[in-house]
Amino acid sequence: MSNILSVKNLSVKKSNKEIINIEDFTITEGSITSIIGENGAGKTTFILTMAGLLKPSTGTIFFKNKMIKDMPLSEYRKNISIVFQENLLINDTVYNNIAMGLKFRKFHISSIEKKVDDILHRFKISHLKYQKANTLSGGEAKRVSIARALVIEPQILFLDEPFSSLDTLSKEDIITDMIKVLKENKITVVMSTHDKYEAFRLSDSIIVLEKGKIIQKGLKEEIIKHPANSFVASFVGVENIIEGIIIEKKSGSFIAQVKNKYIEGIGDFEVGNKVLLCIRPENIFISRYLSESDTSARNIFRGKIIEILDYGHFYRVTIDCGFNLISYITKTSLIKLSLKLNDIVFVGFKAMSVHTITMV
Amino acid sequence: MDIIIESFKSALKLLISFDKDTYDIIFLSLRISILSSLISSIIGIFLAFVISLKNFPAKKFILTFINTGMAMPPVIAGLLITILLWRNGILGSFNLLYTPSAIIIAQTLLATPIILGISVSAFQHFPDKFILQLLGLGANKFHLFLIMLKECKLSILSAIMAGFGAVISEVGASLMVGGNIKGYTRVLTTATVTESSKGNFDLAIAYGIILMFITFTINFILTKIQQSSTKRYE
Repeated sequence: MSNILSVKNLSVKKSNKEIINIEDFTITEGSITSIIGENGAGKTTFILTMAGLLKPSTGTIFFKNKMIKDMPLSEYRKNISIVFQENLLINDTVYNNIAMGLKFRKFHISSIEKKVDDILHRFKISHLKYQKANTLSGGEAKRVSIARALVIEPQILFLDEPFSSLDTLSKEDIITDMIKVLKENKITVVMSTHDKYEAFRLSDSIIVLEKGKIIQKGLKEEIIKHPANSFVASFVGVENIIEGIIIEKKSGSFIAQVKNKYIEGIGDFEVGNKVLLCIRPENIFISRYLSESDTSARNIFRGKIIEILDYGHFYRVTIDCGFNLISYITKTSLIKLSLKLNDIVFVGFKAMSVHTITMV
Repeated sequence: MDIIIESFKSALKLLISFDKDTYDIIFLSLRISILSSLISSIIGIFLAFVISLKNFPAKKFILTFINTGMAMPPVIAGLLITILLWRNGILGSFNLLYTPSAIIIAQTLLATPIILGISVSAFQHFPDKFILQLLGLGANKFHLFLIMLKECKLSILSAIMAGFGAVISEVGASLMVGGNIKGYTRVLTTATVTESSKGNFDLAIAYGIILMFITFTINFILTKIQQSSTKRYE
């Protein structure tokens, strides 16, 4: 697949403050890329700049290997489309809202009618065709705003936290319908999001922004396995992020001290290094009776259950072992072990389950 | 009380009898005020769109200047236009002083800052993200103008109503640049002043009532259009 969009040495400043500083970034044609980052990381600014809606202070954006500053912005914008968190529909019918982009592109009226009817059908909102936009529910309005962006068959679709205001069920329904259209038309997508579900469900690759800079990029599987910092770790679902200090270095492994306890992990770190030890809750097991000799897990702790939360399909159990550890267990396990608050249990995890991040 | 009842009767009589002088004055007033409101609307709304979208160093100063213009006394507008159109003035060669055209120019000067000021405020309240959304869908500046105009219909029509209200009711500028010439530049407001100064209160009140009726009718139509718009979905 060829590159559809790339940026080189991009910098965006607002009131002399640098919001974005990206040396090199490329998007492959037909891919879906998620941009994640904390509030104020520069996600929206980055999206707006790539969409040609915000002028960069310095740097170059290439669309299909052509510099966009060498073409009229309106020409470049004809290749893209954007959906924001807010639905931003005009005070008119659903039909006129969806037809807007086609009218801007001077499509013939019969072609507009055909395309709008088709997208209305795909997003299951044909019955709303002549309804006024201000009478729609949140989910319906979101469908209209996405249909409006897709009806023009853009080459790149930019999504700026598009599903933030939706409940899980509506979100899943809309994403399913949207993915079908995206795949059929091979539309490249760049999406900013706060939601790991959206990022994992939709993306091929993820980039992580921090203070306007890309601190990690890669396929989503790589990001999940090797988060670059505590934000990414927490974003990808690592609920146990424990601060420690390396006190012993072995060949290929280490021992870190956490308060007055010791955790063994894999990797080369220097003694004295401050680290974040990340352990996914599904990798932590709970046992009533256990000793180190009973298991291959290198890390076993005794602790007290301080919280049990019902998450529907599983339980989230928090154990205080001098530091808190969170474990996900099934209902069957909870019943079988008769776990309840204040019970004393053993928790364990393998050294290989510890993903370690050096603190700067 | 009697004088008011009598004036109502006089006003009705003037209207029913199709009194030529009265109808000449009514039509001239309407022609002048509608034309000046229309010209002011075109200039004011277009400039408002440009000013609200552009960021430039003197923007705050210009907005203060416009807001001051909104409170311009009609006699000041009249004075400025009189100086411009005076025989030796910059536009003296056009011989426009004491003509209906002179009143239209003066009223345009009066209404433009009002329409411009309110329209700038309306456009500035249009969410920035909405503008980005429209540009992101491929809109050009002209599309943007039309959509913003439609979406801000409520406030823009208020601006037009305020502008029309200011010009149909002003007397100072019309007197100064029009000269209140009977059958030529006499409009409802100057006619009311003339009849009042002559002690013909019944006729003055009758003109006043007609003026109020016209203002009410035009504002009623504009309000009807204005209120047909409903809340946008954001």
